[in-house]
Amino acid sequence: MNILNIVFKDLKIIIKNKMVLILLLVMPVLMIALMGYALKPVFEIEDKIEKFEILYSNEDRGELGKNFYNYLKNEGKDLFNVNSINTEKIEGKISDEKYNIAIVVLNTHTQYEANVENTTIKIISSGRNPVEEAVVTSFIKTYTQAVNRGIGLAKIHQENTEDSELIINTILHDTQTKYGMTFVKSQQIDKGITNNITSYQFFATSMLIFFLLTSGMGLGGDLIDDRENKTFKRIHSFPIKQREYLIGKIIGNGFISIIQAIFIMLFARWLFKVEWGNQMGGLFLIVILIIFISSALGVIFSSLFNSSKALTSAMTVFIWLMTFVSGGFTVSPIGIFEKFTINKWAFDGIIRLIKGNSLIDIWVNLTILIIIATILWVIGVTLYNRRKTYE
Amino acid sequence: MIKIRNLIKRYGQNIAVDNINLDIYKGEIFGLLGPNGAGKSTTINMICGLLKIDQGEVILDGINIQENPLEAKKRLGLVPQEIAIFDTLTAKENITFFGKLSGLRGNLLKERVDEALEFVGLSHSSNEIPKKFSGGMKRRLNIACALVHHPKLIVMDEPTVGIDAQSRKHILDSICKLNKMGSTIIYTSHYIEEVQSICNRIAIIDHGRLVACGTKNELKNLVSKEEKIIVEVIDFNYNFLEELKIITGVKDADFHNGILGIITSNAQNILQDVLFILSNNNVVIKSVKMIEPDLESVFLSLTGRSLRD
Repeated sequence: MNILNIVFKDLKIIIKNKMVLILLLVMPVLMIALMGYALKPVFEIEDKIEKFEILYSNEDRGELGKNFYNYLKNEGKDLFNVNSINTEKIEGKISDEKYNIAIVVLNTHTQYEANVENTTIKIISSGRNPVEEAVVTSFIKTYTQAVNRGIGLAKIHQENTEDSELIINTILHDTQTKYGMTFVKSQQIDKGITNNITSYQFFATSMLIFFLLTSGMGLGGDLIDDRENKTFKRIHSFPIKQREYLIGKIIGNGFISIIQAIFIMLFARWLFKVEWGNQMGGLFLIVILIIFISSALGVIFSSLFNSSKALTSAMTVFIWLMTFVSGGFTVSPIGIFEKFTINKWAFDGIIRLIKGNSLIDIWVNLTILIIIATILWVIGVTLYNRRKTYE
Repeated sequence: MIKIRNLIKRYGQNIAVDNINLDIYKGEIFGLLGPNGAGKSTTINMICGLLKIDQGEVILDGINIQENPLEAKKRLGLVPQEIAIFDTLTAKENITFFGKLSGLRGNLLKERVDEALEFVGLSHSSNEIPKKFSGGMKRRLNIACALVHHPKLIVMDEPTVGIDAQSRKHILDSICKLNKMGSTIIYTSHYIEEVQSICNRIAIIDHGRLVACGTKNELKNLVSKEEKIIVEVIDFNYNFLEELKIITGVKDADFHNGILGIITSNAQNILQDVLFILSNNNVVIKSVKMIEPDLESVFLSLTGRSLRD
């Protein structure tokens, strides 16, 4: 019951202090807004090639001519706009600098391909735009490789079966129908933790961790104030155990921190459209671990300093430094030093959860945070007990 | 009510409390008198279970404070020397908080909080925060927080430090009232007049040692032959003190705020010599009076130094 008395007293004191309450809740949102907006370009680099215009002349009226045209229209629709033109006019259009590149399919195309002769799809380039040239060359290369392999396989099949009636397209179609395109698959592995997240997601997470870590200052400052104002001594002249007092303080401070975390998450979602993913349980677990770590830091610092102002200054420097090293402010962590920060492990864990990973996927992060919390609490409790706070 | 046996507290090589033995009886106001740093607060902190006892024991209402501190503390109300209240909580919220810590709940808690506020004369300011209070009001609230649970023993550590005369009188009257209501009170102060006026028995502590203990008269009897000559003077030079101190029969002399005080075993005999030295040095004498020994002179006699040293 004494624990609850301490909790309610502390909550009452904080609620009465409107300025502190506003700072606790508004500051993180302001920081997310400012930093998220300022560093937005870093997260949203436009790396797509703008759609461009190409000239196209198809003199082949056969099966493969149509096939290539369909490939061009369907697969190339996101890359370029196809402008059909007579072959004779191509040179002039390119010289006029209206177009940089043209594709010409010769009128013997189908015949040559069907007979497995060598043939060429011509790429006429102005030389003015190497990017467009590279895109079209790669596009055509993909097509020719697929068609050439298909024709080769069909030819071998035709020789083995001695079936002179078989035509290449039928063989290709039958093969695809039977086996699909499942022999070799490509998979993109996203190794960069900050890939595919928005600047607001980054800073909402970073600031959530930063402000939760600073919450320990409240606890540490309170412990010092109680000691200096002699309210600590007075409280212990009543029938209350030291651990009841400390647990009450931690719960009171933790409750405020949880409210702060919920506020940050809700407002970040509402104002900046920050998606927090579906792993709310995992997020809550990391938030609790950070609060636990922060409380331990508060207890440790309160044992080292004799004024709450000195504690606030020291803890602010410590947490700012840690956040800076972990890249929490700048997006660029400082080498391997980031691995020695609490922020790094908490941040990685939260971002992975946001990206849809499960708790098992972040077991390393959780384990490290639990180890840090345990070590800090052992130090904190030892220092707390060693300091003869009544005297 | 309290038995203190062979109480010792050390800080490194320094002995803050040196083998103190005391019995404080139920229903008395017991004064602990001594200058700053004499060991009063250390003794009180050990009595209240706030400080580890190096040696000896404190038995409060039959309970050993070291063996069962929580049970002993239920019988205790401490008024610390410092104003130990929460500045951002109202007077009522402060008292309620400490009332809850002592185990009070519900209607009984409300009644006791109102009663404590009434007792210290803060009912009209119950919903105000102490930041707006005067020094005296804060002191009274400091006391109210210790009374809310009706403790059998109230320990007051210099409760009147730094307040105006009116608030001091209010507090001293309240202490007497509490005592009449049945509370045992331990009162520490270095204001000799306060201790003299309200305490039934007094212990004099100096350098951590118990120098003497007894009623006012018992203490005065320890130095019964000493009297004090008080001379109100103008143009007094501190150098004259040495001349006065060498008069046969003068035990001590001091000068403070225009008042010359001379402690002697026979005031009648040396008065003439004192006046002669003063007039020889052209000191203007405004008034002269002779008084019997008080606690100040008792303290001086027993410890060799003044309470204000």
